[in-house]
Amino acid sequence: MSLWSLLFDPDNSIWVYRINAGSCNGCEIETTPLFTPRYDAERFGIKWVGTPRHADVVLVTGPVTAVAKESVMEVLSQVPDPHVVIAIGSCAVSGGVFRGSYALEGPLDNLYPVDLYVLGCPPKPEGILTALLEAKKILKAKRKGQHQEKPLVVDPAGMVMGR
Amino acid sequence: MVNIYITYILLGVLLPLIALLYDGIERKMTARIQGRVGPPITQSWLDFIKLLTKKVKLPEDTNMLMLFTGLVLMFAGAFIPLIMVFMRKGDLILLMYLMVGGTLGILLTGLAFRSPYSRVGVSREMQMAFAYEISFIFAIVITIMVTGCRTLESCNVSSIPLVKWPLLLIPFILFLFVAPAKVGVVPVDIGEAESEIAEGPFVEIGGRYLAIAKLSKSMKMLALMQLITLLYLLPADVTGIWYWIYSFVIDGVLVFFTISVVRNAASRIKIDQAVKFYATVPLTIGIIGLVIVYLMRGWGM
Repeated sequence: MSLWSLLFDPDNSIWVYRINAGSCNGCEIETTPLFTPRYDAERFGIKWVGTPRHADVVLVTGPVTAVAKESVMEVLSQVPDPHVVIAIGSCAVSGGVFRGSYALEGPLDNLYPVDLYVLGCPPKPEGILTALLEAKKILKAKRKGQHQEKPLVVDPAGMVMGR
Repeated sequence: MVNIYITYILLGVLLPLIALLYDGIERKMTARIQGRVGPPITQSWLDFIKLLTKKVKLPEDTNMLMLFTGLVLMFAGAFIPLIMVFMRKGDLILLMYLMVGGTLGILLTGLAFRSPYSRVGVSREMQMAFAYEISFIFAIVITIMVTGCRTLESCNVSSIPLVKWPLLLIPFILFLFVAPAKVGVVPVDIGEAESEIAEGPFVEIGGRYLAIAKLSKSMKMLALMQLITLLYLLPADVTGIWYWIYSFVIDGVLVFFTISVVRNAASRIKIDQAVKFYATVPLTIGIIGLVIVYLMRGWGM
């Protein structure tokens, strides 16, 4: 990292909030290792926060179920701008095996604009970490007032597609 | 005369930045203890800048007057002590009041919102404050009684004869007990428990308000460490530029032993356990210390 980015670049600080919108907990299990010594996401300035009002990035896991919809929308409305929304796992991206169910209101992009998709059931921690580092660039663009036309897709092992 | 104003302005700008750096160093040390690489030591500084660039989104029914009062008290309760202890100007009793005022600021900030998390945080913070502030006050009172002076420039371990030094061990130990609770780190950060009640009083604030809260917390940590250094660990012949170098090194060592090690050695305890601990061990040490010092004064020491 250059001295400038070490001292003054606000994009090197990403606070992440997680929403479980009816997930089976598989994706949560894969996000937890990000803060273990093996992956250590904190070296990039990434930190979990417990409230949406502190968040820069929101990770949403699970197809948005009818019960979860109201809470998810309320939480997303509390996240201050600029922020990035990442859909983690097959369920959040497309509905997964639950697609077409009467109990679903989602997937998420029917309800709220999504900036990044991470594929996989569940995605590997590498994929989620890559998505968070890509979110850094999207945040930088959003601070300058630019908006990207189409969202990025990250495959389970951390390759960025659709650029 | 002009020089002194320039010094104060320079310190007013630089010391908060150094306080944030110490916070970053603490995070790095924690990461190294856990076997991780850890964030760069400027991470807290980057977080601060990031929070300033965020837009503010508050709940509609926020009590703005209470929020601003709380933030101002919190900032003043950390910033003024920080300048005072590094310049070695001012009164110990005033310093004590200002640092207690910082805790009051946290309570007011939390009371500005109707969130249950915030209310729970305020309630716990208040119980903790009752438990540890009394030990903090005992520590300062014993120091004043032993050294016999109240100003920060003369109230020092080097200003008293060698035979009295063991007496200062009592307030020193009290300070070591109080420091983690006052700064708010893991075993006793029950009011702001991040993973449990989402930072308690700060749950609803964001953007620049949160930046002030985080900055105040870092400044409070550095001010407390420098206060311990100043009162108990500073030899008389350290002056000029050496005073600053010595202070910053010893502050770093104190941060390591009172914050990083404690935080990694223990997990968060419950509020009743914490209150019970602070109401027994440090308070007993404080009362016994006060009695000993009072009797010693009676004997003309």
